[in-house]
Amino acid sequence: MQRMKTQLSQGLSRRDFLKLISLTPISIFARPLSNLAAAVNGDTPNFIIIVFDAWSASNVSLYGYPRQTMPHLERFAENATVYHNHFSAGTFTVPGTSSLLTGLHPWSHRAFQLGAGIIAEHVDHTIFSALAATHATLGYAQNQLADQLLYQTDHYLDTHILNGSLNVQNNLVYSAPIFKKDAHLAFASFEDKIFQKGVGYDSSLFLGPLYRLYILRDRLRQTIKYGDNYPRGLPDTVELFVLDDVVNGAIEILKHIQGPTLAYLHFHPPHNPYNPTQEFFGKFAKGWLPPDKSVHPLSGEINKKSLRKQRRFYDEYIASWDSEVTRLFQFLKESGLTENSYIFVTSDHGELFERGELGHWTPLLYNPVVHVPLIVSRPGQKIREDIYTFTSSVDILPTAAHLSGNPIPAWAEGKPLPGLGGENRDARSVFSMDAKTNSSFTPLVNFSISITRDHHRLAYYNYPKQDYKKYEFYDLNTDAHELKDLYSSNPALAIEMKDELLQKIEEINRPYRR
Amino acid sequence: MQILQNRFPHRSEIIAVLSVSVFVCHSWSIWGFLHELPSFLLYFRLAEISVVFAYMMAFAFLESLLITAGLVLAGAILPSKWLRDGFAYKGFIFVAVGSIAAFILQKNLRYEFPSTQMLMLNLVIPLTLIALFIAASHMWGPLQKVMLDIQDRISIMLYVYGPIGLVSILVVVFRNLF
Repeated sequence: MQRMKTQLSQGLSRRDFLKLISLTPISIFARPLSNLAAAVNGDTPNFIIIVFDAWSASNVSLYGYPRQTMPHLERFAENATVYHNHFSAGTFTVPGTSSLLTGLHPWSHRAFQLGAGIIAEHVDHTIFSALAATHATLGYAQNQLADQLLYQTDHYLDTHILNGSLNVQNNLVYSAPIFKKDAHLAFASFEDKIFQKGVGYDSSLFLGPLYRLYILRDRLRQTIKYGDNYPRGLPDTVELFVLDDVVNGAIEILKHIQGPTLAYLHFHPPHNPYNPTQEFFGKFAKGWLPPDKSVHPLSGEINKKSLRKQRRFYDEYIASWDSEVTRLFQFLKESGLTENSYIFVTSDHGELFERGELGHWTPLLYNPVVHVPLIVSRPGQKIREDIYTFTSSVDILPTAAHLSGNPIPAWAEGKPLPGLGGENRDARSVFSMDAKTNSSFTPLVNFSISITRDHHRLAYYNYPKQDYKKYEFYDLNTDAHELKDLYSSNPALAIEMKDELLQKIEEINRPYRR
Repeated sequence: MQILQNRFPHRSEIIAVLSVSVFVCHSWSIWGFLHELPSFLLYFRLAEISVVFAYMMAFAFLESLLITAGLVLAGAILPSKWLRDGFAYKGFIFVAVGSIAAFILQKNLRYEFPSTQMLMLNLVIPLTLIALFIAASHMWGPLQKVMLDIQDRISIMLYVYGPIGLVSILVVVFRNLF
């Protein structure tokens, strides 16, 4: 892979690279079968986990959104199980992806902040280690923060596709092979400080600006090359990319699956910047408008007009991504992978365009930022099923472990998903939280946490530095937009959920108290 | 061999310029590190923070060596009067003016590739200033003395930053090899 990347930098076109990747010896993608032989038989299914970053169920037509953002996904869902009440445990990539990979809530894996990783105690507790006995493992994360988490569990990854492999730029230092053993701290050093790429000052006084010049020139070159089809600029992960290349690359990666494999593919779209292709540019300029919601005291106080505009851009980008990623779904079907694989399509967290808040860098825990899609296709599934039980991103790992015949790890905090070996339990409590300003090594002090149960949500915001402490309680059945806070009326269920929440917080904090 | 040696500045002068480069690169890097430290403390343990510091110091040390090597090479290639003669104070001027120019360039470079005009200004102004300072210090001895005095005081930091840089390189190499 690295040799090919080198060739790429010497003038090989990206499309040629994608063709060449198909010639890569299969042996580098698959673990020697002798390692797996004892546990594997011909019926062992693959697990393909497809993650779209910052993808909110609130903006997906499959989940009732008025704008037709994802018609192609709806077709994929015709042969799959749609989970209507699935929630991410975190509100941005680091905690959200960590929960997905470890089956742990953020309070256990402690990856609360941008740049943080899973704590040492749980670093080996991932979906890759849980299925290591029966499956070859493959990981790709286009988002650098998610890629850090893959590096943390790298020794359980038989194939780790480089973060920039499918981008049109390759300028991140940490993913250079020489830092493979120490990529997480190399990332914190190089990408966070030494070369900051446009944000703040580089710690490299002389080479920093020269490297910036090189990168900016490369961005300009790539934008000239591919920009015609992207009126708002090329999609961007810090490195630029084009949507069709990413999908083509993912297809090439999956073509090499041989023997039972767990493949984790984490794509950057529809994460911001929201840069759709020409075809979808302005698609939702007219028509439906979102309901007004009052500005939250913890929000960024962004005005309504900007939020509506950004929501429209986001929806256009989702629609654009849907029209590209449909080729991946088509490939899965035509290649026969849908016949012998469990395919999970989900997200690490959602995106918010309301109450004065934009994006997902927020303490708020409303549906748009925590309610994420989950669509699971079982091997050979021919009809659509709909499940309304409340589920969490921490359930993916125990589900995969259960379905693969591996024991559900004792550390896992989730349960197998209903319809895939789990029970339909309406009264189950699902938690989401944010603690990005809290230390990973101390009790939770600055945080927000929500408990969702029985179609109700109780959110607790505790930010002493901002002198803000408040409970909010919503009936999601009758008030899906969470407009009417019922907490002040003191309903019995709110009191019960509050007790459960406070007990949980006490339990979480106990080991961290001195 | 003797001809080749004659082309290069004297070792003591090279070390004097290296000490200024090391001082500037390391101090700037430490400032950046301290700026990030509060967020690192939220999620990294002391050992991990030390490793990040080692990466930054190792890079700063290599950057200093590169800058000094570039100046030494330029001194060897250019006519002696331009850079090699009086390498210590001329190198000091290059590093000092270059640092300010690099800082301004960093400040101006964000998300767009700059215009050719801006790039030329970023190149021409520092080079002009360097030429002016060299000419001024050549003609006016006290200015040259002030610079050499500052350089002399800064050189003490080489004994602090130098070992930190070397140990940091070892830490980075060790972590990535084993």
